Amino acid sequence: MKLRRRAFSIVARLFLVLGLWIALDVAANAAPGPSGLAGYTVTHTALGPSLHFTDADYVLADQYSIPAAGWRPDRAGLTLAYEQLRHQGRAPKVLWTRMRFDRAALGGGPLAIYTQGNRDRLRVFLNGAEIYRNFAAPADEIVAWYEPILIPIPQERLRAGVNDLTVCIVSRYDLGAGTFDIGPNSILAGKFRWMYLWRIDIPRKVNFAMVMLAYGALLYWIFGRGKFEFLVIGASSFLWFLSSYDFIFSGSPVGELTSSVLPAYLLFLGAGGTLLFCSEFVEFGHRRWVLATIAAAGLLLAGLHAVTGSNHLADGAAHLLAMALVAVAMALTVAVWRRSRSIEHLMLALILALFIAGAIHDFGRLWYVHAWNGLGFFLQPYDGFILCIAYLASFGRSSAAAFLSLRQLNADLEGRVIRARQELAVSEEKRRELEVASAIESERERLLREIHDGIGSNLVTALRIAEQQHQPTSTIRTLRRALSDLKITIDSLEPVEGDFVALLANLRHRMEGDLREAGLKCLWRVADCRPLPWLDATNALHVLRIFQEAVGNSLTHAGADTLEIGCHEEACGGRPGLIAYVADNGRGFDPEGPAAGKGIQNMRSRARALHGQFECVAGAGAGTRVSIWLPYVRDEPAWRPSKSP
Amino acid sequence: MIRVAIVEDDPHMRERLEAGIAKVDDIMVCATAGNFAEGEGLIEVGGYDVLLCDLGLPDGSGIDLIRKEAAKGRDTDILVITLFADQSKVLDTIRAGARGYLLKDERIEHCVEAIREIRRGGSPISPIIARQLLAQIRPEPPQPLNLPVSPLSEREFEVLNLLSRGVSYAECADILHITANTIATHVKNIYRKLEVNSRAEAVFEASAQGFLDRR
Repeated sequence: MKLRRRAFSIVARLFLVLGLWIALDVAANAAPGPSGLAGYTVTHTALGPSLHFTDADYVLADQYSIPAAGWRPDRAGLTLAYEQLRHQGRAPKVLWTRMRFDRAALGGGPLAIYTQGNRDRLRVFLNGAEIYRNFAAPADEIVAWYEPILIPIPQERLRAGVNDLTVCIVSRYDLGAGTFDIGPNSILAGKFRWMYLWRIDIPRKVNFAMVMLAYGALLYWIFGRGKFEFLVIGASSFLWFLSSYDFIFSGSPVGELTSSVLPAYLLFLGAGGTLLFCSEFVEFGHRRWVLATIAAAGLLLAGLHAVTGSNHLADGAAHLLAMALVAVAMALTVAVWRRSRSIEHLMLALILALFIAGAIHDFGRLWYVHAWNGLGFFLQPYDGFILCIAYLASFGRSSAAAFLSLRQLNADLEGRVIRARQELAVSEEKRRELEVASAIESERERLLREIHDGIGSNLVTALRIAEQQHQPTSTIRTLRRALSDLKITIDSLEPVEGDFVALLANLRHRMEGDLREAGLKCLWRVADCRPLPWLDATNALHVLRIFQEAVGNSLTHAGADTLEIGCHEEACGGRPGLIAYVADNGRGFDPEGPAAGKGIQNMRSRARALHGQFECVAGAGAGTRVSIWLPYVRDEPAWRPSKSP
Repeated sequence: MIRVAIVEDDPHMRERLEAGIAKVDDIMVCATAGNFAEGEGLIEVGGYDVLLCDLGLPDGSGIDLIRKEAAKGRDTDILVITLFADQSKVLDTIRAGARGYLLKDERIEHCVEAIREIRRGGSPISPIIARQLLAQIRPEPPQPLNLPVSPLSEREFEVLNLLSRGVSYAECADILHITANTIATHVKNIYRKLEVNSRAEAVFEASAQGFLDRR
C-alpha cells in the first residue's frame, strides 16, 4: 500500500513538471512571427529574412501535373491519415500543396528551401518548373518522411512579385505535407546540417550499436546460459531497432506500406519487452501482477484500436497508456531503489524517467497531436541508446558477479593447489625421512650384528681371559675402554629424535659404574630442552665423544670428588640454543698449556663440526669446566672462533 | 637361597658367572644349558627362581626361550645376558617376558647384585629405554584395542619421565619421596605392563589377520 502510494506521488510529480514544460512550449509556438504577415512568419537573420510557412493551399488529386483549380487553404504541415484515405483503394495517393510569397520579402543573396516531414515522395516546383525530387522514378517506394531536405533555389526561377512554391506529395500510407522554410542558403544549410545530425546521423549509429549489443546479449543467452533477462533485452532491442527503422532509413526492402505500418506496431512490443526487462532486472515483488498488467494493457489497446480504427484516437491512447505503464515501472523501481540503495536500480529508474520524458516530447510532436515542436526532431530513435545503457548495466552487473565468483573460485583453487602441494611436499619429506630412517635402521642392525658377533664378543672374551690370567691393569683398562667406546658408538645409533637430554642421560647411565668405582659424586643438573632437529647419528656420536672425553678426564686426571653434569637452554648472540657442561672440583690444568693435549683439541674440533661453541675453563686448584653451546637451527656455516686458539 | 639357571653358549661367560655366584652364599646355580635345545629341556624341568639367558644361541633365539619361560606362568625372573643392552634388543626381550639384563663385561659383583635386585622386585632401565617406553605405553586414547592393563599409572609415568632424563634411582627416590627399591619395583611393573600389552597386541594382530577365532 505504502509502496503504491509512493509510486503514485512520484509519477504525479513527474507529470506535473512535464506538463509545465509543455505549456511553456505551446505558448512559445503560439506567438506570432515578427512580420505579422498572413501565411508565413518572418525571421530576420544576419543574411536577410527567412520565411516559415504557416498556411498553405491544398488539392487532393490523383494527378501528377499541377492542378489548375480546387485549391483550398489549410494550416501548413497537413497530414491525412492512411485510415481516412483507405476508401481510395490501394493506389498511391497524391497531395498537392502550394505556398505563395512575395520576392520582396526575401533578401538578395543565394536562397534555399528547407523542408521536413513530407510523407513520403516529394517533387518541388517553383513557378511551375520542377527544381527537386527525392526519388528517381515514380515506381520507387521510399520512406523518407523524417529526412530533412535542403533545396538551393536557382535565381533565374524567381520572379519579381508573387512566386508560387508548389509541391507534389505521393504516398501509399499516411499522406502528409511537411513544413517549408525559404530563406538565405547559408542559414537554412546550417539548420539542415543540424537536423540531419540529430535526426539521421546519430540515431543511425546508436541503433547500429544497439543491434550489435542485442546480438551479443542473445548469443550470451544461448551459449553462455545467461539469465532470462538477456533474452528479453536482446529481443526488445531488436524490436526497438525495427520500430525506429522508418526514422533513419529512406530505402525500404519490404515495401512502403509495410515499412511504414510495421514500426508503429513494433514500438509497443519493444516497450513491452523493456518493461519485462525491468521486471526481470529489478525483480519486483508481485512480478506476475506486473506482467499480467502489461499483458492486459496490451489487450485493451488492441481492442481500442479495433473500435476506433478510423482515426488516431487509438494510436494516441496507446502511446499514453504505454507511457503510463513505463511510469509505473519507474515508480516501482524507485521504490525498490529506496530500499536497496543499489546504484543499478537508481540508474534504471533514471533511464526509465528519460524514456518517459522522451515519449512525452515525441507525443506532442505527433502530427495529429501537434501540441509543440519541441527539439525539432523525435527522441524515439534515441531510446535504443538508452536501452544500450540498461543493457550494459545489466551485463556489467552479471559479469561483475561472474568475475568476482570466478576470482573467488580461482583463489579457492589456488589455495587448494598450494595446500595440496604443501601436503605433497610434507608427505614427500616424510617418505624420504622414512626411507633414510629405514636405511639407517637396517644399516644400524647390520653394524650391531657385526659388533655383537665379531669385535664385541672378541673384546669381552679378551677381557675375560686378561682378567683370569691377571694381566697388567693397563691391558685390562684398555680393553674396558675399547668396550665402552664401542657401547657409546652403539648409543649414538639409537634413535632419540634429537633428544639431547636422553643422549646425555644415557652417557651417564653408561659411565655410572666407572663413576661409582672412582668414588665420584655425580650432580645431575639437567633441565628440559627442546629437541635439536639436526641431531643425527653422526652428530650424536660427536656429542657423546666430547662428553665421554670430558668425564673421562675428570675421572682419571682431576682427582676430584664431585662431578657436575648439566644442560639448559641458552641463547648465544641472539640465536636460540642449549648449553651443556661437565665440571669437576679437581686440581684443574692450564688449557693453553702442553697438558691440554690432544683431548681438548679433539673436543674443540668436534664442537666445530656440530656448529657449536666449545669452552674449557680450568685453573690450578679451581677445577675444570668443559662446556659446549649448540644452536637449535644450523642454517649458517660451521661456527669458527673469532680468536684463533 | 636364590636358585639360578644359566642358558649361555659362551663357556667363558658361563664359567665366569658360575664362579662369581659360587662365591656368595645366598645364590646358587642349579642348572646350565649351552644351546637352545638344552635350554628348552631346562625350562621344561624348571626348579629355579632366576633364568639368565643369552640371546644369540647357535641353534635358536634366546627370545623364544624367554617366551617359553614366560608362558609357564611361574614365579620366575628372567635376565637377559647382553653385550650392549641396546634398546631394540632390550625392548624385544622385555616384551617377550624378561625383566632386566646383565652386561657381558659387567663386573661379576654387579651381576650378583643385579640377581639379588631382580628378586627383590626391581629392574634396571637405561634412559633411552625409559624414553622409548614413554612413547610406546603412554598414549592412552588412540589405543585401538582394550589392553588388559591400563597403560601407565600417574606415578609410573613420573618415574619413567625422570629416569628418561638421566636421573638415577636414588635421585628419583629423593625427588618423589619414596625409596629407591620402590623405584625399581615401578620399573619392573612397567616392564610387566609392556609384556602383557604387547601379548594382547599380538593376539589382536593375529585375530585381525584371521589366524585366530576361525570358526
